[in-house]
Amino acid sequence: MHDPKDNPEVSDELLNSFVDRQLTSEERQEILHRLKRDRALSERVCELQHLKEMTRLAYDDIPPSRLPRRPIEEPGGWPRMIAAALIFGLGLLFGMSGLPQWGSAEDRAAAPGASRDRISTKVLVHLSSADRQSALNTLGNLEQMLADYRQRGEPVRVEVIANGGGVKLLGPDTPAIAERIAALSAEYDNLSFAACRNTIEQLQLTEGLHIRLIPQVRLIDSGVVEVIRRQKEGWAYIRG
Amino acid sequence: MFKNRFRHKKLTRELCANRHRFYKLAYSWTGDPMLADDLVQEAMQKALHSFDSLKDDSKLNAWTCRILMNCHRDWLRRRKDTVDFDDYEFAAEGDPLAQVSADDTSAMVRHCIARLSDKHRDVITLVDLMEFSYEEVSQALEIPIGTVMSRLCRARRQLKQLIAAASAQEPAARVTPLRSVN
Repeated sequence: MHDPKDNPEVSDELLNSFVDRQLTSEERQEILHRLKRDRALSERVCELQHLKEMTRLAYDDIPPSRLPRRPIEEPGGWPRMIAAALIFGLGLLFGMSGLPQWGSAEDRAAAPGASRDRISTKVLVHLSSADRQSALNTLGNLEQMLADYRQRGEPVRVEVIANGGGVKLLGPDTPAIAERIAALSAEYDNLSFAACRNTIEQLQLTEGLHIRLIPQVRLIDSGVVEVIRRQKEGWAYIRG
Repeated sequence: MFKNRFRHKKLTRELCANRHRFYKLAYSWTGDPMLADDLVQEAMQKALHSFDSLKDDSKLNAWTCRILMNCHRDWLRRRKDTVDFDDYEFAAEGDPLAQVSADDTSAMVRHCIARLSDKHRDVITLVDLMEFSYEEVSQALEIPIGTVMSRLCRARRQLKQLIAAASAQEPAARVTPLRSVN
């Protein structure tokens, strides 16, 4: 679509496409390569990214919609009546035969999705430093906390969000931390890890680092935006 | 018949799942939560009863946005017929930005977005709030992708200037001027 080589002055249109992730992989690589050598270009990209994030964040705290979440009544009709009759019939059948009923309170409580909805303790751990010992301490504290909640039978959800230097610790190059994360992720399905894509790209530009992440870590667009969003949702914030 | 019914159900689910995004979009155009709710409700009802005219299900969001935009334009047209000078004066007196604190960046950015022209605001909100690809924006606005790119570029340039100007002003000074009526 565009070839930056043809145009030594990278146009604003092209930079917007870069920030909006509308370029092909080759075009993106070419821009990334140019950004490494051109500080002014890098600043233009940062400005655009900043503007984009400001726009996105500006509507996060607007007054909520007053309408119910599912306002549209789907049209009824005979298929719904047949389904209702079938469910009624099956209910009678199982009710009389003494088999356990589907969707009992116990079953719902055991369903992971259902239990997540009722979780009152949600903890966000912000990892922004490249200090390995500090990260290991944080992971150790997290493990203790998760074990404690599990022992008491209290649901909790923990998300570790890494940006800044923190993203450098979530790859295979720091095996002690990677192994710890893998073990914790296998043990606790209520624990997740996320890394900031913007930081990773910035590190590539400014320090020439190619950050690799271990499979347990998912990529999010912006760590800062995620931290703000979670805090607005009432998550407890802990700096790791 | 069943196939069609399942399709409708799937589309309805998808539409409902994206409802909050449509609401944000409508709010970005109107700055009024109740009006945004009304527009989204109207657009979703229209979409729900017109699924048969949607040719490609993968374009549901762009198609619904187009309906939402038409609802908004209809509302603006209706409003134009009824609003008089007194209403304009009232609207300017109640300018939300005059009441916000200096550090309320979100309100300041929203105010600046509200000051963009319709076509610039449409494209910037579709890309940044709806997270549409340029192709989806092109479908929603029925304009070529090249036009989407140039409009977006101008919109962001203008928004940057507006934000810089608003940031430099004291909050009390950030009052939208009254529209001139001759």
